[in-house]
Amino acid sequence: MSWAFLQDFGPIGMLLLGAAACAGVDLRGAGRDGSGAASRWVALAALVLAFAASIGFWHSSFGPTPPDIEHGSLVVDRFALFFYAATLAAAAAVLLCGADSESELDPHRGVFHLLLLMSTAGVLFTASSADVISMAAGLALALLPVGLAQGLHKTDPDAVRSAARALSVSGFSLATLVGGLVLLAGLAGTTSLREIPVGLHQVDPLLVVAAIMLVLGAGLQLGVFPFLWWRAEEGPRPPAGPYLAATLLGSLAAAAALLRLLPGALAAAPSTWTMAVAVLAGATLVLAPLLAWRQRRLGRAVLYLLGAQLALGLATLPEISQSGTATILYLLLCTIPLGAALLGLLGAVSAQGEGDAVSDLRGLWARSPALAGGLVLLLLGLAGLPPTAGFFARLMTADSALHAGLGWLSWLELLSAVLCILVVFRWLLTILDARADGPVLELPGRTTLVGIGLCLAAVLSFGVLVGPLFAIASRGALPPLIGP
Amino acid sequence: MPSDLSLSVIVFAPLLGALIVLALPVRNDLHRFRVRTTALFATAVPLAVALFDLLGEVSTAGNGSLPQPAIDAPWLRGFFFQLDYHLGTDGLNLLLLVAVTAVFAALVLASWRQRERYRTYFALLLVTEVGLTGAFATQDLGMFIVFFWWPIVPLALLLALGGAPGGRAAARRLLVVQSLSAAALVAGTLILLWRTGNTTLNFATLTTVRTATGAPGLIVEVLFLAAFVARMGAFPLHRWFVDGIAAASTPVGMLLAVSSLPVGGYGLVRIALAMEPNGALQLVLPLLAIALATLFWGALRARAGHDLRRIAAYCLMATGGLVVLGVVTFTETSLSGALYLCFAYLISGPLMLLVVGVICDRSQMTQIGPLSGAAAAAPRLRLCFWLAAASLLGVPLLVGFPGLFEVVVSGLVVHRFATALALLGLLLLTVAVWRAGQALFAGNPDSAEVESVTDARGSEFYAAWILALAAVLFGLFAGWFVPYTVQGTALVSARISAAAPAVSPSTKS
Repeated sequence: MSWAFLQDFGPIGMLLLGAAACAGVDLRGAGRDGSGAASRWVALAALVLAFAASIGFWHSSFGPTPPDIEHGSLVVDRFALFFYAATLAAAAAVLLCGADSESELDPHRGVFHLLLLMSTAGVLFTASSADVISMAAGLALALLPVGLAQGLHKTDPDAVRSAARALSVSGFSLATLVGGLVLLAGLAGTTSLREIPVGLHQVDPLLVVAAIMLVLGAGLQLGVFPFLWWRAEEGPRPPAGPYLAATLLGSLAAAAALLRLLPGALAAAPSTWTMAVAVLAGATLVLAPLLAWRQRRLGRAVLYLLGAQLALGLATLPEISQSGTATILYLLLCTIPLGAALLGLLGAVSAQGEGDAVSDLRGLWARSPALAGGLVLLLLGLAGLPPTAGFFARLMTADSALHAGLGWLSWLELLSAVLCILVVFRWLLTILDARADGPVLELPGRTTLVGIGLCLAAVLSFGVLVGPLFAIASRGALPPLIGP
Repeated sequence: MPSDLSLSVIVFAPLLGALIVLALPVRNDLHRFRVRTTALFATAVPLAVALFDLLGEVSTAGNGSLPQPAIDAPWLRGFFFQLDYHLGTDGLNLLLLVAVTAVFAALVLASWRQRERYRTYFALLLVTEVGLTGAFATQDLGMFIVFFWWPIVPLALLLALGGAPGGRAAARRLLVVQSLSAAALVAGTLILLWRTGNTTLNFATLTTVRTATGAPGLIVEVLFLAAFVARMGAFPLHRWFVDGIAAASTPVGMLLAVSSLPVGGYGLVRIALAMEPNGALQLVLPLLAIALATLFWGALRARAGHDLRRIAAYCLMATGGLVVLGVVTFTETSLSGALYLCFAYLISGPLMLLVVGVICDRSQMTQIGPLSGAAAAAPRLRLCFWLAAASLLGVPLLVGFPGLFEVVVSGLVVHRFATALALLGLLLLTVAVWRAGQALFAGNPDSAEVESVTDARGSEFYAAWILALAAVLFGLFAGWFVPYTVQGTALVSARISAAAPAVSPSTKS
């Protein structure tokens, strides 16, 4: 292992060191007050340092000779660096936005932070994969710890069941993905992602099976059809942190893997996967808002709508071009702060003993205007209304689907946008209702407030800053996606 | 020529005002007064700047050169299409921009007695203004789409939160129709860009490059027409508009009128015709049918109606038929007439709804039968009503006349039979308006509630005064503004002529 390797994979190293430090803090402070908060700050410091290293390397990679550094089965290219930054920001958002209800995890807070950092490192590994083996390892590291983390809330009798379910789903998703990867490697006769297109001389029916397994495995994490229900019906349950981590990091890991594999390694055989992806995306785009319409709990409705938003990315995958991939990256940038802030805010509400049902939220504007105002703005972002980032993401994904020759999918995206607006409008009316019978809710704690505030600012400003952000996403999507 | 800053101020000053309004406390009357005055100031600033720009531009427009864009900065690059932060004024949009800022100042005055949801109400009102001024000020189709979407949810919220019976259902209907219309605009734009290979969304460029031909061109045009006809509240997509006005409070009803026909009519000229003339030329008959159906349906329903708010809504809807007729005539003059009618509607429509709303609010009744003679002792209301009605019906020396004259004169050359029918429809509309006016102002009141209707006073009088003054001034001095509008429509007309040399742009004023 060379010094260059350590330097290039500094962010991952920092996360692993941070995880070790969290474990240390947790062991030293077992039973003492404040050890959980201390480990949170240790984890946050590790994330910030890793983020700074990623940004620094991103800038250096645009020098006169931009290097795509490859070390065996891992590669640090712009795509990986983009995911580094996005994933680290998402993990930081999980820590901040979920801080209010974190005390419910005591005495296992340190363990949660450790698992969070490991999962983050797993996403980074997945994004850096140049090989199916490293990708499988990265996915396992990304998906299993966040599944485990959901079982840490031991005072909640449902938590163990929930964790078992999350672990089963993560395991199933991982098994499907790994199965697809193995099949792909077997058909191509190589494990290197870069050499897979060379090894695939003809379109084998088994290649279609492999592609479908990959899409289904990733689809489970993204929460798209036919797995729309499992995440949403489980619903966001307090504490928010583990749930947020599973939702955001799982989605990022799945997105990184899909982008490396489909428009990357399987770009030469698009016929094997484009229709499967398009059908799943189309079904999600229509079904998710319809299911969200039926919900009486905002958390569930939000999860369905987030599924619809992530399906937009799936719908853009068939557009194999820099613009198409950049659109997906921009969509992820928009979705991370939106999801973190919404679920974090709902977590903060539930931490005060209040639910997220229609009756609980009715008249929230009159009772707690600041809280309700934040919720309203975030819901507008979720509906994809201008000037939020979601609007431009929807516009660009619809255009990408059209350019991919999937006009019908473009239509479905527009229909989905209208349905999402209707769902959100219904909740806006509930929140802005004049009847204010419920209790006055306090603002979340300082840490959560900072996290939600930053995410809210991102949701609002990412729309205005669509040009610069898309330029960054375009650099992250520079072809080829599997190294030089 | 407006400076770079002025148009941005016109568009975004209300947004700043909305943020300030939301931050202000509303615990006592003084606080509420501050909220109102902040909202008034936030609407007065754009009005002042727009008037300054109007005077500047009109004074230079006679030099023969078309105004250049005021601000144009790249916004999104590297995608299949490019977005620009591009605001600018020309003959097509400046008058509409001025009118919409004036109407919002009047709207705040008309809302002066708003009792509930102070901050929410005024903030939503100001946010809606951003969408409307933005739609008129932009010179980029991408930004137009942004501003086309922008006011939909605030409008629906204003309607639903008003607390009137049927408000929520009307808001839902508005939301569905307007969202679908915006989605149709997006779909049409994307197909247009995809089929033609263009990447820019700049209006000026899109009106010079080649257009989609054949079936894609037709699909694009159908989508554009669906988007703008739905936004106008024209037949057969008018129900959201009529139900909305019937269920809305007076200022929100005025707001609905402002956000519907003018934006739709402007979009028809600026986008549907200029971007896709081939498709428009293939759809002359359906467009004529829509124009006549809107005019006749509106006039007949207004004639037969019993609910005063609905009667007013149908009268306004009928005016949309004349706008569509002006659009489908395709000549420089008729297009100018259509835009001038939109401008007149922006002033007269809210004025009529204000008068009707004041009468209904005072008497707590909407049925025209019991309201007989309700405002017989209200000379200000009477004057404003007849001024608005006369303006909408195109009486000379008022703001509605130049537009109607241009549309009818051009129409008689190009679509003789349809224009003759439209004149018949206009006659029916006149009868309907006359019936409503006679009932309100000339009958004998026969109930205690009706007798309690007092004249316009205070803020509502000032709101009416602003609109009435505009209706008279822009009618009297139409000679200054009409050539400017004609100059703006010349490019659109030339593009249509290039697509179909058979259509002659000879009927110039």
